Amino acid sequence: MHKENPNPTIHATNKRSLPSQSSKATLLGSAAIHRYHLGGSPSPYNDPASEWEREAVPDDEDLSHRWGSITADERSVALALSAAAYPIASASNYHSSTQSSADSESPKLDILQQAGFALYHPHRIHKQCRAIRYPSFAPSAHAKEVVAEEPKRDAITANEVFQIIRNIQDPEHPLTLEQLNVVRIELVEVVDLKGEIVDGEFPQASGSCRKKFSTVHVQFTPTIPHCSMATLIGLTIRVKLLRSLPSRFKVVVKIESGTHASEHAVNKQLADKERVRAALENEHLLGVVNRCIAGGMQIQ
Amino acid sequence: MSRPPPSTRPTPPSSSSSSSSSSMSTSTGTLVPLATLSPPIPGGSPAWHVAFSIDGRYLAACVGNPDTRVLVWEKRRRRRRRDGGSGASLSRGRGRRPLPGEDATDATKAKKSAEDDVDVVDEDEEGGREWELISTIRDDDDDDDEYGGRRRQNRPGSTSSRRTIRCAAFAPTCMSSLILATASFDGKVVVWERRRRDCYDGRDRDVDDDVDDDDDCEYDEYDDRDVNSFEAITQLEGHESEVKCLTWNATGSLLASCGRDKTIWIWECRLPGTVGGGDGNAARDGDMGGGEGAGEFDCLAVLQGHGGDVKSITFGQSHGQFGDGDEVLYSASYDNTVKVWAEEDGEWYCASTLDDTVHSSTVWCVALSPGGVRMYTGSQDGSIGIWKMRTSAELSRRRGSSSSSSTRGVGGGGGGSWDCVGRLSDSHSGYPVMSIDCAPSRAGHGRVASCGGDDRINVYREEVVNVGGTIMSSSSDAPKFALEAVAVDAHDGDVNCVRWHPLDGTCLASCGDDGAVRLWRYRR
Repeated sequence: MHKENPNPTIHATNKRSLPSQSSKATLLGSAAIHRYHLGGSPSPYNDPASEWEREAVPDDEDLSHRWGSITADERSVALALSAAAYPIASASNYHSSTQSSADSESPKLDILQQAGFALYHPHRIHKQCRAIRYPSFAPSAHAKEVVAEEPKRDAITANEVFQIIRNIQDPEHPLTLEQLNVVRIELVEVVDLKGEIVDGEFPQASGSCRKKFSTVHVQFTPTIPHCSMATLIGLTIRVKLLRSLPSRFKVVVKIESGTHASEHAVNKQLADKERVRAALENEHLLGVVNRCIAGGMQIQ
Repeated sequence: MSRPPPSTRPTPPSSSSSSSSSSMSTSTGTLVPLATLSPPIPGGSPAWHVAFSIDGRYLAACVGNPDTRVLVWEKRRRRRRRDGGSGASLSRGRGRRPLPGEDATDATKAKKSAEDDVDVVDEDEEGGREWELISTIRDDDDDDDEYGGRRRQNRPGSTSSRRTIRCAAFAPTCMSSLILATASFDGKVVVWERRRRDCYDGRDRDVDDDVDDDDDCEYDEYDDRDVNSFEAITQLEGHESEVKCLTWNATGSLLASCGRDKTIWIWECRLPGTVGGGDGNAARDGDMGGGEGAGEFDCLAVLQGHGGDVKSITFGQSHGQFGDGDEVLYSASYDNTVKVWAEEDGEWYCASTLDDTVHSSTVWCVALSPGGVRMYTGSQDGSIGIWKMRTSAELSRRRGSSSSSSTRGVGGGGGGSWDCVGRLSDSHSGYPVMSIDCAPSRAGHGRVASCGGDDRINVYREEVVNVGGTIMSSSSDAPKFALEAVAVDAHDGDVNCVRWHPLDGTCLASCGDDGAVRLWRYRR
């Protein structure tokens, strides 16, 4: 009988924890229930029917519905329940089992049946129980629950990023960058992903792995090609994005290609994190940037 | 805050691993977190720079605006090795070190302690526990009433200074005095000296001359509390705007600073405990008042030539190829170039501007191999340039032996050049390479560590090519580098600086935009 149970350690713990129970066969099943948290209460035998009904798993159909696919754990439980319910049958031969099954029921069998457990005769379990008929190598239910608990979040969209920068005030005019057509939603590119490694080119060495990041690319269009405020506008956009976005984003702010005389120089300056940090320590410059950000909010 | 929790090894946000890519069959090393000395603070100040002292016992990290400060950690000496059984069990693991017997002679003990002075290799996994925060230098601690007066005296105008401290560098001085130079975005270089009990005996007179009114202070300086505080001994002014990098030469006789104003300043230093820097007696017996006795700084040269911010500088050996001095200075700039500055008749001049087609954007960093003949440059364009120093003799050989007489090149001394012999064009996923450091010669493995805007730390190994029984590695004109170990997500943001421990080839320190300062264990 014990060979039916794939987890022999259950016997030992079971005997120690519930010494008052007389029938070893019943204890075997209850241990399996405990092991796989099928029972709701730590001592279900005190009030079996009412306690178990809530957490009961009536049959394998429900099992599969609840966890998607049948796991190895559930197979073990089904086998253990079967062995618990038919202690004599599991030990006897097949022909006598059909007749003697009613007599050989353990005292707790009807309790299990009342609770709605599916109890298969050991000789029929291979045909009737889906968990046995369609074995699966899926991870146990507990493992799957952990995976399911991984936090989910909505990806940040280009529109949301645009909402952050659209109402920055132009340093020279009482208008927002959106009103001046300096920023446009088409020029906002957002890639929001979890960091992952993908294969990439690595010409010099034998190989490498590239990492992809969540990125925000914003291009802006100065009003005139010689706009002296282009660096300041870019700095303000960058500062507001850095303050607003989660730190996983790598922010790039650039001038739209071909719209400014010294486009390359401004882009280089905006990309230099050291210069950006240093600029923000300049109280005058920081004041202007903050006024542009705050002023835009008042315009709206 | 200074110590990580002792029970568990701190783990960064994501576990680091060696590159698991199947194409990296040669990748064998690992880079695992050893300790987080300073925790990441979301939205806090970025940590810009880390620097070890020459003996590897101290680590300094600069944290930028808004909470500008310099943190200094000291590696605790493990006394248990010397007393009793625990020490024996520790040294048993090393194999090469004999067990310290109970009946060791005094001479043996003295030798052993001398070894401990330089031997900071820690073989246990809890090495990070031994780093203890000993000092936090803030440039604006004027609320310190006790010594505020003297500090203000030493640093006029310091009340308004809260700008980022971008770089810190320990002077290569002897162990009795610990001297740290810091570079700030406010254009000033401040030289700090650690106040220690054993140093003060010789300096009491100077302090007495200077500060007459607070005798109590003199006694307070002997408190344990004050032993680890740093005192500003000099402030070097000259840069018009942000100072971005500092470097000492090998002997501590020169300090160079560079910055936003496109210039490099070379300061001559006479520090106690450095070669040619005047020993302690001279400073004590001489009648220099105030803090001047601790070290004098004279501006030796102001080097102009770069067309943009000078981002990084480092001293190297000239090997007789540049100028007539022993030392040369390398500078990396916002103008996409690297320049070589050499000394000729005591004058510093630009000896060479390296090939400006190698990097298409700002060169952030320049690092030299321990021998000074291989150079690595990291750029905003995401590439690492690999350079080789060519001697004038080699150059003339390559040109053809037509001019056999010209072993010395044109234009004064030297005649050597640096050639780009390789390029890792996509070393950090296309993000800027912020810092590179070559493992010290004592480490014995010659690995190169780099970090950058992709939050990673890479460790490269130069592939050794065996040609007909001859090992051709560093002499190769086309070196190949294999990425040996990677710390993915080493920091929660750009990694700004990575440095090898000067003695321990398995230890690295890094800092990043997340404000964290971490130690790493590299294993081959």
